[in-house]
Amino acid sequence: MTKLVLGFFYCLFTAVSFHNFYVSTTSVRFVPDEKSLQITTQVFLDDFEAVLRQNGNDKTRLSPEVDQGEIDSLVEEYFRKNITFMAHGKIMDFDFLGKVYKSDVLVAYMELQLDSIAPPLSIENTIFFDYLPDQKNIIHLKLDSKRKSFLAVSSKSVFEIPKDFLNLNN
Amino acid sequence: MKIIKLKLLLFSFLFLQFSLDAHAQSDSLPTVGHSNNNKFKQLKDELATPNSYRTASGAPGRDYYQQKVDYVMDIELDDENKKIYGEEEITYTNNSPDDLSYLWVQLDQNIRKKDAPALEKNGEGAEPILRVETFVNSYFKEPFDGGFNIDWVKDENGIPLKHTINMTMMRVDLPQPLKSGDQFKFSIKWWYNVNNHIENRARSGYEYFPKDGNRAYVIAQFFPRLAVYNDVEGWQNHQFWGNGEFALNFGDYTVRLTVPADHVVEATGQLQNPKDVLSREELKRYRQAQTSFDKPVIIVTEEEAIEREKSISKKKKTWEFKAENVRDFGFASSRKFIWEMMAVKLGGKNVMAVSLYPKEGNPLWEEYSTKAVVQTLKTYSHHTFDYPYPKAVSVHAKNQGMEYPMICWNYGRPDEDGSYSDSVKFGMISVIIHEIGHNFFPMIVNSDERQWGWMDEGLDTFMQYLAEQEFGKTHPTAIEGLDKYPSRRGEPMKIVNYMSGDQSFIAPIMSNPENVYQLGPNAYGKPATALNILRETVMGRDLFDHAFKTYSQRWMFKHPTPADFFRTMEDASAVDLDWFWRGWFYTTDFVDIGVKEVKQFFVSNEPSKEVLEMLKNYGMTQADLPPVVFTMVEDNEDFKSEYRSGSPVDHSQALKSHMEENVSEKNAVIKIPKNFYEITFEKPGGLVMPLIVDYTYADGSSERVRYPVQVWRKNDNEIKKVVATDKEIIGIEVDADQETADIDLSNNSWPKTEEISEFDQFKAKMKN
Repeated sequence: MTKLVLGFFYCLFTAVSFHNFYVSTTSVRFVPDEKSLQITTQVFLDDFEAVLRQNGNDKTRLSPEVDQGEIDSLVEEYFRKNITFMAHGKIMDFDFLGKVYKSDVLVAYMELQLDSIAPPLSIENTIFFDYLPDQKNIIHLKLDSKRKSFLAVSSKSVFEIPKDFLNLNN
Repeated sequence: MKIIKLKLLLFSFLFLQFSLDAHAQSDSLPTVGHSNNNKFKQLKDELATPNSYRTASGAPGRDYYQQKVDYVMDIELDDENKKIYGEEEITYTNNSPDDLSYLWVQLDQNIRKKDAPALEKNGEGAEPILRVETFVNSYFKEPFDGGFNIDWVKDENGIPLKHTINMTMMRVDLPQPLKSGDQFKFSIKWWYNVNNHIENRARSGYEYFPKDGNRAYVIAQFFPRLAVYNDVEGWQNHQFWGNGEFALNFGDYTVRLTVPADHVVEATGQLQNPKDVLSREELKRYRQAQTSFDKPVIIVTEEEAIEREKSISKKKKTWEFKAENVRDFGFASSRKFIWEMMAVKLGGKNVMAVSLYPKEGNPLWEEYSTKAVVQTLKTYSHHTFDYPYPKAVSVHAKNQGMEYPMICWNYGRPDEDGSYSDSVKFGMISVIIHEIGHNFFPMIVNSDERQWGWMDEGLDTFMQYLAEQEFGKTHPTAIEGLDKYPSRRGEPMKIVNYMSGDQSFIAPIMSNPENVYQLGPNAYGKPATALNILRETVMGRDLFDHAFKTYSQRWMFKHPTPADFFRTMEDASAVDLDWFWRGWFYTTDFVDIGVKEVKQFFVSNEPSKEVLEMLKNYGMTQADLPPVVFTMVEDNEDFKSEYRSGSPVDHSQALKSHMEENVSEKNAVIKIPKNFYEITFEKPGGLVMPLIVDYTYADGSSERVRYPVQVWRKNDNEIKKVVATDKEIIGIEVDADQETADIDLSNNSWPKTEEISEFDQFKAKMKN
């Protein structure tokens, strides 16, 4: 059935077929040896394409077979705008390593060096909130076998990363 | 006598040892008891007691009944004012053993009343960022008012019937109770404002095309429909809140659709008056199509459709459709439609595969839509029953993917310049297969969608996976460059992300569709994957396919419940699946099975210290034992390196004597393995699954052993298996082909392989 857009008035009558709900997943893994956070985000290609089209060129095509030159910078710009790490009121700069296509999903890889950062550290994830009121972004924090998850929705999108997921003392 | 006694003693001693091992941690007496929480406990408590309506075998019982509801309707579509008017005569046949004093009628359109409670069903509060249109629609505009306006409800003599509307349900009070076996005829006159389905993402409505000023209508759940009355729910009058779809009765329909004269119409049922509504040329093509088995005949071409877009007819035409034994009726109408159809032979009968699309769908739609319809009818018929209806129609509507009997709406639109990506193409083919496939579940195998989303969505998504894979094989050019059709759902690893997710955002499959966070994986992906795993890994294709077909045929044109499905799958296969239903359908547990430890052990002539100690505890010495074989692992302090060499028979006097006495030349084919391993398998995941293990040997050979799921009966955490072999084991891998949706592969191998994460792999690739 059709995609589900739950925002208030837009929500009710929806049929559902494939990904009838809008969800992205972001995994944030602390790597003690490198004192860095490895961030991997997966979004559905068709949603992302629609977002990029809405924000600019309506011919933008996210597709491995016709990957235009400027796509990489558009993709990077979008992730930099919508995934934010903040410590002590300052936005932390991260490396955007790149993206790959996996069937109908785009996977983006980012890395944040934590050498000189002292907690508390927060993450904000506003992916697609500018396009889909019902978008939900799941954030998985991982450290060894420890797990914790947040669900970012447009009315709550900032979360503090608990200290025991950073383990900076070791 | 003495020997028997000793043997008994030994048996009990060995048994005791086993049980001591298994409970090594519990030194003190248990403090609390527990109920039966074994993963293999049968589902007797969860499933309804079988009765004469529904049997313990999962088939309809001797007293099974269902109501029949027939409709004769006159519908008018007012394109100019975007309104739809209807007058319907309903014949309700009470096949139940009960007398009914009222009937419940579903008014699904009332979910679009401007004050519908469904508008307030969510509690997520204010959103700091909103699309402009959403913000304006939410806070500035009077909400769209698209609820039903009921002009009257009358009995067959024209006498008004008392009726009460509660949200999306209307109770019609009967003058006298309707006796079991009797019929009641009544009529309803109604109208409503048609919504723009693009704006509010509705299942039904119109799409407006600003360039030519036309609309394409896809209209469904648009008339008052009888609710289901049956043996499990009584009246199924659970309100329509938007996600839980429909529960509907079978019946016969005669529908006269009056639309602008230049519209092309498709609908549930067979067109009765093609001569009245088609031009001479169209009629010729329409007839030609009935026997065109190799490719579609275009009834209305793109050029003709473009020509029609340019003007608006003030005249009207009435299209008449008849359908037998359907649970619903839907239709599509526009002057923009291109129309094509071809015939498919199924079980000695011809079925028409039909596509209807505006030019905006081309060139994608002319290329793939009808092909996808044909593939769906073939694959699904093969696995269930021959498609019983005369046609199946795929209509293109932006953003839609919604199913009705014989007709469905599907997305997949190229860019304006006609180009499209692979994801648009495969998305379109997949949604057509899915929605056409819904003819089988739930249109014919008529489960209650309002209560159980997975019964149609899960089964359909499973079948969709099979049909997609077939499509890839029958249309190799469509998947050029890929080794198989890129199915989004069905393969076990595709569900891992969901099943390993945060437990607060996932729900058991056996949940109502209104109350889950992620309806997609919950009602579609997970049940479809579960069935695929049943077919490939648990039951095998032969047993599964026969059982699945049995279920489909038993419940064809009937109303099954989950229990009927669970029971039939077991009844027709003799495979106990209660553990599978319990784990996969009633819980949010996941699969995680691994290899924990591998120990090699050897035959020795002397007992180890532990064995002697144990004998002592029982007041025994070695002399009290009958002939026994002692074994020792290599890290035992009494282990001697000579145990490694030669045959095990050389290291045990008892074994040697036994062989000499009992193994004569005539049965000398006996095999004496050199190596003995004890392998511990762990199961951090809650789900029990068959244990699939690949053993790799030093000589380069390997073998796959499938231990039955029952290995987990007595220990849900870890089990040990012994492998006795001539060869040396150098590697062990659990579920090497990723058949079980194991969420953590880091414990699947021995020796442990250092896994490089995808992240590190990508990072390394970028550096080079």
